[in-house]
Amino acid sequence: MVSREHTAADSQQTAIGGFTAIYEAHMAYVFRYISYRVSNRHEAEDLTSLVFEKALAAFDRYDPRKSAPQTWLLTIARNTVTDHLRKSSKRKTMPLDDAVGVASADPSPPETTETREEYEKLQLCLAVLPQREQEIISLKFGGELNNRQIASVVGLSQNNVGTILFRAFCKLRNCLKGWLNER
Amino acid sequence: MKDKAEKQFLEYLDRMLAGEPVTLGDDVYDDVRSALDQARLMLAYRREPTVEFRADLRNRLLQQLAEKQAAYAAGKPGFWERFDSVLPPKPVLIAVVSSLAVVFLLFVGVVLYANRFGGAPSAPPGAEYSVQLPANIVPEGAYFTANISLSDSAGKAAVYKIESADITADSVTSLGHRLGFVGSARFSNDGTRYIMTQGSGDYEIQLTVWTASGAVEYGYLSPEKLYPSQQVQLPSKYMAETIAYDFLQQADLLPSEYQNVVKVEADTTVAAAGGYSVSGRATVEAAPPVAAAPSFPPPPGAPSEEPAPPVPAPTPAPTPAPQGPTYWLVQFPYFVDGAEATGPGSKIEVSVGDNGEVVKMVWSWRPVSPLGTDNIISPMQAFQDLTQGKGGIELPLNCQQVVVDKVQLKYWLDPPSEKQDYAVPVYEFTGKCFDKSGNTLEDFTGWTTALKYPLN
Repeated sequence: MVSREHTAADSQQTAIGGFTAIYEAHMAYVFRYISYRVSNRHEAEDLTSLVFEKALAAFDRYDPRKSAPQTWLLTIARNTVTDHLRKSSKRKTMPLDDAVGVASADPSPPETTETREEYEKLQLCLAVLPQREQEIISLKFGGELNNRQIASVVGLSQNNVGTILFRAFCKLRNCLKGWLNER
Repeated sequence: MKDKAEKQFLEYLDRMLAGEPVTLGDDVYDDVRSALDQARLMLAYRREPTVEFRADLRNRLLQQLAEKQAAYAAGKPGFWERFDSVLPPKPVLIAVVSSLAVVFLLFVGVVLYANRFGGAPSAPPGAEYSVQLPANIVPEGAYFTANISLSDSAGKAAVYKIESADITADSVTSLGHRLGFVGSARFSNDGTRYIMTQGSGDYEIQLTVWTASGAVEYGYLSPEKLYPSQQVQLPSKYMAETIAYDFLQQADLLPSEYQNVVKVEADTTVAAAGGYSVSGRATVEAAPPVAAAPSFPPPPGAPSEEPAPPVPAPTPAPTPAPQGPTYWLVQFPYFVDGAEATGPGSKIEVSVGDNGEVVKMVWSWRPVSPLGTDNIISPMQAFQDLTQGKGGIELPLNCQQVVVDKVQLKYWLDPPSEKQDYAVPVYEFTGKCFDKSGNTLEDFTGWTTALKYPLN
């Protein structure tokens, strides 16, 4: 006869296997999502670590019937980033023109000066978009969620997500175009 | 124009994100073109986690898991320690308690024996089940009614184990060869599927096999075959069925249920689908979806899935016709041990286009074996769950009245990109959505889980 302790230990073992499998499958999505939301790689790594620590702490309560692992993790990531940005208040404090050309804190920025500038400008243009637009773009490109999943994470309709995405990219284009014209 | 531009943007964006080569035609709006340029840039600068960071974080998490486990083991006394602590000290009492324990064990043994050899086997714990229903998007103030009487009797339903797919580069390469591909399959960068491609540039076909499920997708990357800009010559519906059957047979993808062509003709549905490409500026709306289940995978330009009123195949003409189907969508119903399946992972569809060419195939089939039975809730309870936001349903924002016309017990199958271990029953609700003036907006499909939690 199997004792209660054995059953619990088995469940624990299953939970460990489940969590590591989720980590392996979804870690990159979480990292990419966060990378779009913060300014450098170190910050993205710290926040990714924090997200998985939170996920591990909450894993006992995670119910796969209610949400897919990727959606669950990205919801934690979204809340973590929002909290981080609120605390650090680093965003939107530097005028764009001043910021371009400032050395990136990313240890592996694009190689050439031109592409590095383009990269920095893109990050800055992204940073001046409204929070919701940033979130949706990051969930789409970093989290690789479809519009329906994004809708469930941010609490909008699928159609609204599509409209916001298109509008946000038009703004990004105008931001980058304005910068190129000024050069 | 704005809506069209947005739609165009989203279609191209999804293709881009799916890793497909995207060539923009002359028909693409300037706004869309420049927005897509930004999207490309965004994608090009996407950061990936370094191998070191990935390994380091993994180790740290494993360490934390080990500590958690150690704390768990240290914090709780063992079974026998607890048993010892409750045993009375006196021998007579020990005898009484031991006798009671023996009677109890005998009772448990009889029950277990009866369950194992005399009754239906029990299904695994509910925690192992996973049903990834769509999001619940219901406009504020929308109310639900049912046009049918809903039973309030609960019951039991079978649960099935899904056989795991054994997908390797060799198996995908063999499949590719059967479909005329040359070379070998390669693993996708994200590690979710094997891919084979044939041709390049203006003429490219791709075969994709998902490792999680074994689902297969075959289709043209270019040129656009589902929504071509020129007139097409479609075969008859009957011929389309035969072409689809032959194609699946050639690929060795015909499920055992469909080995007989007569069965194929009896069970499959053929829907008119497509419409001319926006590039021809002679666009028509694509045929409405055949089933409202979430579609897999969602390539842009994919056929809509509702049954469209049968439209005769267009006859050849020198100029593009303004409307009409551009392919036949041949659908093979999916059953789990005789019960109908639903969800994004439950489809076999072959799209037969110009001159009878198979222009797309989506094959998502998971073999199952019976596992046991579990209690299910009543349709009435399921309806209440749906109205309380516990199910998966997506309604338009101006939907104010949701009228359910039909409720069916079906088996849910997750998207092909997801590994699924069990096929479990869900209630599928279909009906119509009305705006505040009572105008019909669209048909809807919603789902709730059917299993009664906690499980036995």
